[in-house]
Amino acid sequence: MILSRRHFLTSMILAGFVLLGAGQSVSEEYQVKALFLFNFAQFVKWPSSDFSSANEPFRIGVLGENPFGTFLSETVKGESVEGHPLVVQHYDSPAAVKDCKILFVSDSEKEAIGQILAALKDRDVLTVGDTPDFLKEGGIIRFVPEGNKIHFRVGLDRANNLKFSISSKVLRLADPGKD
Amino acid sequence: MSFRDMPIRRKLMTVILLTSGAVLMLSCAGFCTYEMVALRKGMLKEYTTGAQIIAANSTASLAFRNEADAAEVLAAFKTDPRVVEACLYDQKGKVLARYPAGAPVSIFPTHPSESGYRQDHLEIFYPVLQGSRVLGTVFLQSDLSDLSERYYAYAWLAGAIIACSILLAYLLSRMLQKQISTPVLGLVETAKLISQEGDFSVRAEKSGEDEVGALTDAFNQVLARVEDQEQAIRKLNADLEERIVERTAELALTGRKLEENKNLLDSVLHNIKDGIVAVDEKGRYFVFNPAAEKIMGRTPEGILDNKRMEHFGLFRPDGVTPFPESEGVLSRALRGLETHDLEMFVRNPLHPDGLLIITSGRPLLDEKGKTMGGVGIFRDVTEQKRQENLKIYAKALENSNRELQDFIFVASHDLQEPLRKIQSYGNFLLDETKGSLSEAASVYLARIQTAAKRMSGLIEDLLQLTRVTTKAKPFELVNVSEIVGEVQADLELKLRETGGKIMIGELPELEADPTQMRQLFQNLISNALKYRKADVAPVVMVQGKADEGKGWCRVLVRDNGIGFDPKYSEKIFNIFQRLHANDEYEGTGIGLAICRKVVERHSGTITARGEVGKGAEFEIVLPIKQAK
Repeated sequence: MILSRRHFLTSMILAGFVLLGAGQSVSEEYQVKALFLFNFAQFVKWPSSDFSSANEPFRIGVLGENPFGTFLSETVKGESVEGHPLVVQHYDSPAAVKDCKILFVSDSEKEAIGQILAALKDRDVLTVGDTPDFLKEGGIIRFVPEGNKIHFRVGLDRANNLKFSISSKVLRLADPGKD
Repeated sequence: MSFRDMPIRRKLMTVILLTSGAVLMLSCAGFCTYEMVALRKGMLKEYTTGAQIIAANSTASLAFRNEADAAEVLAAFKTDPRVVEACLYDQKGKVLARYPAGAPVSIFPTHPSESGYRQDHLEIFYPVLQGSRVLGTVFLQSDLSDLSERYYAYAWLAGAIIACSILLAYLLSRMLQKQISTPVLGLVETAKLISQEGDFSVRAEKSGEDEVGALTDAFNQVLARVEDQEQAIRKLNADLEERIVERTAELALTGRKLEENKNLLDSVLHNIKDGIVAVDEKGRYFVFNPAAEKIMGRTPEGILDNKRMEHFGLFRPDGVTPFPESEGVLSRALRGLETHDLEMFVRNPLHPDGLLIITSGRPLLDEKGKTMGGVGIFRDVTEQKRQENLKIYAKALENSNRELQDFIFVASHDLQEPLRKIQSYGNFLLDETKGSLSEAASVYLARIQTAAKRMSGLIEDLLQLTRVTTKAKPFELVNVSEIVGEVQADLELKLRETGGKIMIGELPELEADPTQMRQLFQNLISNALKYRKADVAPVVMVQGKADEGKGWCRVLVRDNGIGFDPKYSEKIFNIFQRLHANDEYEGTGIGLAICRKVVERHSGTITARGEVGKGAEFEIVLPIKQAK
């Protein structure tokens, strides 16, 4: 308990240091969203066949402009999912997207969102986005701001036809609203 | 009542009830304790499982910090009313959701800690894990009402079981104890009966072949032996009683003999003339008989420092020298020495002239020969000593008396010879000088003749006086009447001369010397004729009487002569005592002395009574029979 607290403190200080050192300020909204992304990695089950090896990294991709700064990479640093170390990968174009299990489509890509999602339609990638018609375009999870809180909404018709399964616990937490 | 004194019935029941009660208590306590522990463990496990389920359900809520969902998950505790409160801590230990929904944050622990029982509740902390990641902690608190309900239930159950079991044990033991107590009580009853009635012929009834049965057999065997022995003892007792009776009789006899001896001893001590005293080893008197007190003039009371000589006034026989204390009979006895016939002189207020005592003593020894006291005996010998002295004087007197009589006899006899020559040659001289002598010479010659005659009579009388003792004859039966008759015949001439007569009355017979009797009456009657009145014819009366009862006879000789002055009634019996001049009445003064001597030799008395001019009377008292 004491150790974990110290660990926690250390990571906070480190984080603060990194943030200050980076000179970048990440909004609280994106800090939460970064954690949510990390949580999704935890609560979504990919078949092990989806990994080429036991220690292949579990990639969280960010397509387009990175709104998280270094916060996301800091959050997942040292963490792993079923032995697969978590790694953040930035992609500039949808074509570059490769071997990632979760892909955050940045708000910067909202013009081409339809194309992007269509391109990833047959790929087993959990797509997450901010844009209001993200689910209508074929995305799987959309962040929904509500007051000062962040909720998420799951495109259930899409989610049911996926190779990976989203934990019912996550689904229970999902915003019941319809897009 | 202590357990030791309880009747065996109650003892058995107490033992059974205590044993079963203790076993029941212990087993119930063990069972209850086990149940309690198991219950607590089970409850802990149950709630841990509950917390685990909640933790599993709340992972996502915690991961996504969804308070509403978390609260919903916690709301599952509604189904269990025992859960009082519950909450979810996030990773940082902050409360994310609470149950009941409105509960203030302050009632929850500020941060997660260990699961366990607190004072009156159970606290469960369970980590919420996503894989190996700790997302937070589930906390729930349950009250222990369930537990206490169960406690009560167990207590009731245990109490009921114990009560029923003890009741059952009581009933069973009541029945079963009889198996043991009844035969034992039977034995006790038998024993009581025996001790009260003393009847050893009673036998205990046997109930079975167990130990009590064996005891009953042994008891009965003992009884049989006791009965035999009792009979033997009775016989012995009877013998013993008989012997005791005999012995008591013997002892009584011995006691009586002892008593008699004691009485005898006391009587001797009280009546003996000898003084008897005894002292213990410290010189304290324990015997001091009346004779001792009479001689010593006082009791030993107040004696100081054992100074007996000073106390009693004891001297040497000279009556002057104090007797040395250490030479006293008792002092010597206490030193273990015997004393025989020691003479002492005692002077005290009772005997101011003093007494001569002769004393002896010896130590009193115990059976080991140790001196434990002394005894002394003494006797007053003053009188004895005087008697001894008197005897010596009497003997000397007798000797001198005999010498004197011998002298008188010899002298009288030898004096006769020259006297007869004087008379013979006087007669020759008278015949030769017939008529030729002057008248004066004739008178002188006649006087010489008369004097010689008188002297001859004197000597004759003296001889007779001595003969009373020297020529005594044995006593024989004498008729006084015959004696007096003979005397009358002898005095015939004198009677005729004087014209007198003798009147002889009744006279007794007695044992006497006849010659001396004749002397006695011859002297008395011739005296009566001699001392007659000049112009009166003498009359002499002789009479007497025997008193056979008293063994005496009395003879009186009375005359009508000149009599005598009564003051001479004693003197006239003395030798040579004469009341008249010789030329008036002739006489030697020996006659009455002879009379007295004769009467005294016959152990009698003679007394003279008379008055001048009125005659004289002589009374002779003599024993009828003389002592041999």
